[in-house]
Amino acid sequence: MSYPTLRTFIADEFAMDLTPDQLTDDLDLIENGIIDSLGVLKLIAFLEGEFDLIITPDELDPDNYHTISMIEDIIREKHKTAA
Amino acid sequence: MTHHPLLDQTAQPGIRGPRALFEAIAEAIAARPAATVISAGGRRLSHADLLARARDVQGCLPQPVGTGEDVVAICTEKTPEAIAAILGVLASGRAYAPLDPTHPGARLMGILSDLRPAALIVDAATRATLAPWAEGAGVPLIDLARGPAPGTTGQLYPPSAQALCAVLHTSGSTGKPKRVEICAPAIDAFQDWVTEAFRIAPSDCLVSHAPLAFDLSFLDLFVPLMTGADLALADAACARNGGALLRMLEATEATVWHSAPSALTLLAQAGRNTQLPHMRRVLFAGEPMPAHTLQALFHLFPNARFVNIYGCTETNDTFYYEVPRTNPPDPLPLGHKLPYVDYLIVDAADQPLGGPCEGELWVTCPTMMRGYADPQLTRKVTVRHGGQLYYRTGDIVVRNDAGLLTFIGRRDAVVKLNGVRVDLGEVDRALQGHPQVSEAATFLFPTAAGLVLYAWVTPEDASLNSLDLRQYLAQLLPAAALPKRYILDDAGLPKNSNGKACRRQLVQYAAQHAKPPAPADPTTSPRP
Repeated sequence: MSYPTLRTFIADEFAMDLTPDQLTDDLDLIENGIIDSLGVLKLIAFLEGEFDLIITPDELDPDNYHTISMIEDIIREKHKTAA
Repeated sequence: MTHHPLLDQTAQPGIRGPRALFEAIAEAIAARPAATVISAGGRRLSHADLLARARDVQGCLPQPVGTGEDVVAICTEKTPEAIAAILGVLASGRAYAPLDPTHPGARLMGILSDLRPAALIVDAATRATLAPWAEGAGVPLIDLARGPAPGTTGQLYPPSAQALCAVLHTSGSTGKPKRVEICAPAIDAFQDWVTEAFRIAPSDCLVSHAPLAFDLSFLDLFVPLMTGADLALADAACARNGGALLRMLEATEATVWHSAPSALTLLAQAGRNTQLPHMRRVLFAGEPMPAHTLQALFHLFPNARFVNIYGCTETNDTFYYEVPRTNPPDPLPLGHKLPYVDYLIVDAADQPLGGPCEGELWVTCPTMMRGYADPQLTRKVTVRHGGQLYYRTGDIVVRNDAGLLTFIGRRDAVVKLNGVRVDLGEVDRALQGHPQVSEAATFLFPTAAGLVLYAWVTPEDASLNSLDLRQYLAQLLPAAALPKRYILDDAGLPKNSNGKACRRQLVQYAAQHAKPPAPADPTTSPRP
């Protein structure tokens, strides 16, 4: 399962001139200067609100959020644990 | 005060050079050898062990050549071993030049080629990037991960007698970082003030958040070493991870925090449901503190007193403000001057103003730099008035009836982003260097979350997108200097009558640009 609103959020919030489909699954969002450490906080607030999950302080490491596929894995994992 | 340290530090009493600074630290360590430096992973090295390692590093350094000043560059992760290496450089009587290992390799090598250090200290994190440069330039390489290089005798040469103690680099409008030269008396006067003002004691544990390449690290390194306090080092990975910072504070029962406000924003987020009663002092500097973050921090640190500190690389800290826990003003004032600082507020014609006023801040203090490596640059930022040499901060401030100063803006295009000073001219030039960019200018755009760095770009052809530009700039600039948003527009840049891009107008255009609805795109889901 993929999460189209995630891609749209990242484009709208961090890279307005790009269309969501230009953000490929494995594009490194941090290395490419799209999301920085404060941007990760915004992303986490979005994930918690949009996907009804809780990110704990131990999971705030920006290294967990380098790519869209990594972020989607987190959402899937959280939903599986909650189910 | 009658000190005129800038350009002339020969008349200073006390600690005159790096070797004397090292000896003062060694003496302090002899009195309290068991204090520790703690790595981000929780590994502890006693100050006494630190000193032993410093001697090892000193033994790896080459013999001083000639009578000129020597600088040893150090580009490593922020570890206890890196601190020992800095002490080893000081012990040899040389200046240390800390470089940020997270910066792009091309930028680091540009700085090194310009600096021509007597030696380069690296570790496992930076060796692969920088060893080829050292070999090409014929500069001795010391790898902290591998121990002394083959052929190193361990011989301790007589220390140099120079006053130059530290060399820092800060963003310059030309694209070439400005090299700031700081002498030992400046560092000594500063650490003295910090120790006294915040009563730093052996019972304290101070958390160092800023990279070693930042001026904030003078407080972090020299105050704990001189007072026998513990020192916890947030390395680059820990520094951007709120959860890791929180764990570090819990594990070390840290009592003093020092960073830019953005780091405290990460911490406030991670510590939403936590309280850290050990923290007694929270020092922050470098940019405005958001009011909502401050409230969250009051909860996280129930027993701490908060201090907003103002300063810059060229002068170190010059003003500070004790933040009241009830009804703190927003924005926080810069506050009152440090005891050894004199200052002026001048109008557009450089005439000093009295009483409540608005103008550019000039400061003079014993913690001032000796100058930039380029004397022409130094002349641009210094001015003599009433027998004192002042540094023109470029900051526009307001002084109120009570004598409190508040920052309101800049005279030039220098901004602070996540606590990092960035000259927008440097970012403009980097963007203009992209082959598909016809024109480009950057500016700060106000949003609910604070000021955001925007880039306005006129592309040479329509295929250019911000992803290309982001990837290009990431190879040239520190992360903090990367624009967060791009506006690509064929219409060209709005210019003033001199033909220069007008940043103020760009802000207005960007506000309009944001308004029209995005073109319909079937692949795009609606905004959540």
